[in-house]
Amino acid sequence: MSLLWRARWRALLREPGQSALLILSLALGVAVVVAVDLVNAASRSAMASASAQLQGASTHRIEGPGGGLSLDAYGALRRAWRAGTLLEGDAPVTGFAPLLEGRLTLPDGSPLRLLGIDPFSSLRQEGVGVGTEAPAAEAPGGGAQPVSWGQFLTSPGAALLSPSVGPELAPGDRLPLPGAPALTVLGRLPGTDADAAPLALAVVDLATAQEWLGATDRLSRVELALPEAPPRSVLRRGLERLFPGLLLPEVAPEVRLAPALRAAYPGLQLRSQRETELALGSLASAFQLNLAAMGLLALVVGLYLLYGALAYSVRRRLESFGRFRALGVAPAVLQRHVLLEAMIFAGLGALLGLLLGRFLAGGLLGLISATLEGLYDQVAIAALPLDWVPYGKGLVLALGGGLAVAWPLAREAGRAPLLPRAGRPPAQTGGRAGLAFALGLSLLALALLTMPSGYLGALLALAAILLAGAQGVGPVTALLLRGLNRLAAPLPLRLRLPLREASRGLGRAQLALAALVVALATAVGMTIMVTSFRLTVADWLEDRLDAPVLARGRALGAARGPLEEALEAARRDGLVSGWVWRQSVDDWLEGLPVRVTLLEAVGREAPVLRLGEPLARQLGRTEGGVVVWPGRLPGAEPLASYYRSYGGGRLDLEMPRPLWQGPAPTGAWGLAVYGAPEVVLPRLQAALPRSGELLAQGPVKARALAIFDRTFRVTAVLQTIAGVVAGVGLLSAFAALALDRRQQLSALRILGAPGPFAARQLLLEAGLLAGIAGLLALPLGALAAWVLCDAVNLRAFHWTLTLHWPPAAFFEALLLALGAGLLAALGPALQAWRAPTSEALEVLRAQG
Amino acid sequence: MTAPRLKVSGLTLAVGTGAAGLTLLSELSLTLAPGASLALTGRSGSGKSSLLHCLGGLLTPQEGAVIWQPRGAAPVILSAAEEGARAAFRRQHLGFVFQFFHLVPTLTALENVAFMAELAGLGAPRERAEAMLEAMGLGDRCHAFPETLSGGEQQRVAVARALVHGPAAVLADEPTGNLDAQTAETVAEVLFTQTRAAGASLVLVTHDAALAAQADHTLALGGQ
Repeated sequence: MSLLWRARWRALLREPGQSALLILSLALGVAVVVAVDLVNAASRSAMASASAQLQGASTHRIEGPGGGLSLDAYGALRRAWRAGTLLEGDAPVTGFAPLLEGRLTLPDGSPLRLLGIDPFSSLRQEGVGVGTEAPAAEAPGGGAQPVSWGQFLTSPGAALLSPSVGPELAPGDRLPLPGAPALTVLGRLPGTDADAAPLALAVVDLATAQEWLGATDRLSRVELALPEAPPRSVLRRGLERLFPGLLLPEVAPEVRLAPALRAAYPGLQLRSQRETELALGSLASAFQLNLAAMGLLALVVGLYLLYGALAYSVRRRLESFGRFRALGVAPAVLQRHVLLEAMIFAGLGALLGLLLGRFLAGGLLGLISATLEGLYDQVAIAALPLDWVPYGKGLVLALGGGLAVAWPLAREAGRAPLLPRAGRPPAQTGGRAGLAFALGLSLLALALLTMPSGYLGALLALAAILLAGAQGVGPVTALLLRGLNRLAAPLPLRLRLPLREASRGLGRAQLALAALVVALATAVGMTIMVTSFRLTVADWLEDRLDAPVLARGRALGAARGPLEEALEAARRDGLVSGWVWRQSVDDWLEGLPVRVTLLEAVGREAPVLRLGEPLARQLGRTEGGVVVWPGRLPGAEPLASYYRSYGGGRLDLEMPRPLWQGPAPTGAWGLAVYGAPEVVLPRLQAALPRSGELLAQGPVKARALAIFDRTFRVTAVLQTIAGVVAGVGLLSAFAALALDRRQQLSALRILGAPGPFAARQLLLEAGLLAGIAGLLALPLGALAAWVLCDAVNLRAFHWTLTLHWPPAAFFEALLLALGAGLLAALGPALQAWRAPTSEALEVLRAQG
Repeated sequence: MTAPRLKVSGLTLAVGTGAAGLTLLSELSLTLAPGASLALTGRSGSGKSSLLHCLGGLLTPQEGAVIWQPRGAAPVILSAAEEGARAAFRRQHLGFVFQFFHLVPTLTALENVAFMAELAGLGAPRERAEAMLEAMGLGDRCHAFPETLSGGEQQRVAVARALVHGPAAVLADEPTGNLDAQTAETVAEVLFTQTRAAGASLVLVTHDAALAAQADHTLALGGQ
């Protein structure tokens, strides 16, 4: 070890707590990035695995109007496929498989995806069937066992189950399902990585699925395998792995159905699987990008603290660097010295962060999975994949960030003046303050420029606003302290001293304070956004779920008659004033996946054609206009104003049932009944089909809000972690301030200042700085909330949120700042209080 | 006969224990009259600074007593007092001058001096400080911050701080040790003159024979 290093090493050992806190704050930042990436990667992997399981080897799908496919159209497609004339230009098709997909419910209430397949089709991949060969299904013990297709076709309810469904069940066991016949376990689906994709899936014969889902006259779609699907570029795959949540559009040659088929069945649509994934995955993708952005925020806070600590350490040593230079040490050696020191901190922080990230990801898994499942209809994630990319990314970000923040400081060390300068070194030179001001203004300009340019632009604007705010913390705090100092002139010196010391300590603490301001502003912004969102959703639920009684079910069919009769009877008796039937059809409108809700009102205001807000915004029809939808609507239909909609998945619109000319809805239904629940519920219960459910309005709203709260729990957790990173930084900064003041306070102690005096000084100083940080975080947080509500949410999700300003969010932030500051200073303050005078003497002796 | 300002009897101070233990002061006794000055001399490690710290209640001797007779108050056995009482005694009846000044860098010269008066609970601290600095020849440097003052000026501010609250005694540890010869002379003159003018006793630790010679009494420690 060189003597230069030995000297530095000894200095670091003298302040082990400072070094440990610095490493910890960086580690926490890296941990959040790694954890969010791991969970996002797990989610993507689960989605991909589930898609592979559902799609098999298919590359494209053919859907009919309304998201279904009539048996007539299917017959024509099959004949064309056999004749080799399915696609335009007779492009070859290597696989063709009909499929019916639907949902059932498991005994524990969780959803079970039901897939009806034709085992003799040529497309299903391993386990689901290829040609007429029996697939090698796995027994629960793990050994592969051949599945008898005879049994698959002939045993009633025979099903192949994914490993996550009733793992304790053995072949031959029965699995009862609420509202449907029981399943008989025939075997397990192999090739399913239970860790990556715990998709609850049951594969049954097509006819069985048609019967159970009440869809005997249709299929969901036909899946195709095209031989020359363009391989996705390495760069594209690499980018998507590096930034989970990023979905890049696919550029692929267009494949079209043969003209004859298009003419005979105008509603048929051929899409690539990737196109469908992109359309349905974009909302979840925005959510994942949000999480990744929060993770990066925590890392930026960590790097900010690293810069702050390094800057202080380098500037404190400038004189000794100058002496080394005077002795003949080359500037490059000093630069390497600073860079290496930063790399050691960043490396240790990164390594600890990778470990912490793995644990944190385990904790976040459930929360993020719940959100993706609940809000965006995505597949649940059960475990983390073995993926080195998030770890590598965390390491590179920490080391790269460390290098970036250390570079200017290394240059400063290399240029240290050979002779010490006389007088007090300014905490922030005029040039540096001007640079910070210019940077802050540039960031604000960037925010203004990028905000209107879409979702990513809005996120960038948010980051720019937060960073501009962080830049302003030092100068604004200095200005406030100067003003306070003037105001405090009549006060005793013991009360003015903390003000003066806070100004002096600002150079040391300002980056930690900036980190705290960013973390608090984010917390305030997120709290306001989530509160606004929650109140908006509550209002929306109030509006949408205005009926006191609600009923719903999977397939209506013949069940409608008895319910109608019961409702009519109740109306005659004056118990019910009216009701509205709702049935939905999944379809595509102008290239967007939509869910059409068909309304039939009795005794209520007649429904009109309206688009949900996300759809209206995507189609650019927020001001009204007309919708032209051949095959679905009779002509150019005028639009009423859009309605607010906060669902995920498909974009929604609603219209009167008679207006709809597409295929009859066969999926889920809902019924809103306007009457007193205590009398209506018993009347309807008897007429309700087996698969139906009757609910009072209250519990439905409560459940919806509970899902909402669960969805945002992960945001709160990440917010807390960013706050903890800032808190650790603050702890480190205030501990350093206390160290800097030891000599001065020791001298005062010897002069006769009582023990509590030093403690009070340290607490007042910390409270003052943290209080100012809290105050600065409030307007910045309000600005962040405005951007989050009016830009990010509107552009990412097309949701309009009514801004609410809960005073509690502001008070909490202020209290948090004060609490964090006082807590950070409490340790040094207590130490100063309890220390005997002889210790003060030792400090003076040691420091001269 | 006037009662002594300071009475030390049978003072024994040791540091460390067992084989590593070292007795710095053994059964030392002395008295100092009000307004008198005493120079403590001796080689490094002889215990002169430790004796000064015992006198200021910063160190507790193993044996013996340090008894102060403050102005217009009952005698105080400082060596037996509790930590809080010692601190209170120091801020009301003693003044300290350090080798490295130890002024508060964020307070002006005037504020540094006024701060001590405030700490001692005296009224009109600003006016007292102004008068004291004027007496030290620093009337035009009242609003200067310590880092803009020369070493000699800083030490004169420290002397003003040590005297502003009218202490019974000033304890000075190498007050000229960090100054050049000419500045040291000026500071020494101010220290002796002002202490005498204030009627305070002075105990100072020094290696400088010329400075020690200005004191009324000299106590050489370490067998000299």
